[in-house]
Amino acid sequence: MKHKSARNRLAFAASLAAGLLIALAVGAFAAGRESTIPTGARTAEPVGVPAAKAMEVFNGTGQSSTAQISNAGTAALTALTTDRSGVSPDLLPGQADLTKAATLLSDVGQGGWSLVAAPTTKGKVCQEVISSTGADQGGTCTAYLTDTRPVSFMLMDVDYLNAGQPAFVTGVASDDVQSIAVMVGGMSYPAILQNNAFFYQLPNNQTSISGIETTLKNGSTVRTTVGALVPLPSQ
Amino acid sequence: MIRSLIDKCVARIARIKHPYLLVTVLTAGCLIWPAMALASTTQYFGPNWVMNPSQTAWTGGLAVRINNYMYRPAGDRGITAYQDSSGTQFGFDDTTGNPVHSGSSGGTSAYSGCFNYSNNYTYPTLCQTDY
Repeated sequence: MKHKSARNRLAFAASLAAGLLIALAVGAFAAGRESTIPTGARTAEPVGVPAAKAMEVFNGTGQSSTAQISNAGTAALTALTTDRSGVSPDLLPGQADLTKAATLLSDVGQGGWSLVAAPTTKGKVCQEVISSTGADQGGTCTAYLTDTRPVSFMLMDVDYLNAGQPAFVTGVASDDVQSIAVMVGGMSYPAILQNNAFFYQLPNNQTSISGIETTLKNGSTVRTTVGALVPLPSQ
Repeated sequence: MIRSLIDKCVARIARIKHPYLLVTVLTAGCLIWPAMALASTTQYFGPNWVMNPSQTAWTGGLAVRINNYMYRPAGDRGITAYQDSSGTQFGFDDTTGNPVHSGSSGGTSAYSGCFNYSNNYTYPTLCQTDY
């Protein structure tokens, strides 16, 4: 009987150890999800004027009238510019200069969205879309605005495609931009343009844009191909 | 006293069908579940990952995300992508800026990931989703 009890205890301890090993194995598998394959093509970054220098709104010389940035906007820009471990320094946007952060667009579109932005220590401009309830909807950082690409755009749908809130295109534009038109279904529609920022809400059930046509102050026109929010392979 | 309690416990477990399998599973479960809840729930590919042309990379399972980020060389268009349980895709950005970021899904569960919307191999790429 005593011998059997000792055997049971041993088996019990072995079971505990097996459980521990399984837990460790699962942990190791989860940690190993990172994939690093050190080969592949790399595309050159476009050359132009650093975005922060190309936008009057951050240079204090113009007639811009930006609203004060909300706490939600500050938090979103801070999160966007947080360095992430292992990312190539070339790809990191730098730290946001929140003393210059501004709300470039307020209460636009069906969602009452705002576009907040700030220059960074690397001369880039980071921008975030904030909903009327203060939710951070997403954003990006623009490095350069060039003669051939004077706008930086985000094509977004914050909920379901073809349902709920409509898709929209927004972003920042250089001082050289006079007006912006969004091409949808072969037609051209004017976008809101103010404070070096633009916005256009797509018609309901429309998620495709053929391009953005930018008219510069020198009279020339630049067309940027955008494309569509395309169907993706299934999960 | 304690030894007696352990013996009683072990004896009771031993009477169950497949007792030690049960103990193994319970032990693993008790360790994994709280660890999953407490540990960082960030899932990612990268930061030096090669994305194939037009490749979609789903970082995690069906869950409510907090943030979704994609870093890749500017010039290669990237999209942060989502797909819910019914297969409907929603909420992605499309830009040449860096990083591409989408915020909270507002309590909606979805698969999250990144899409290389170009005909180029994109390197180095980081696709990160925070849950």
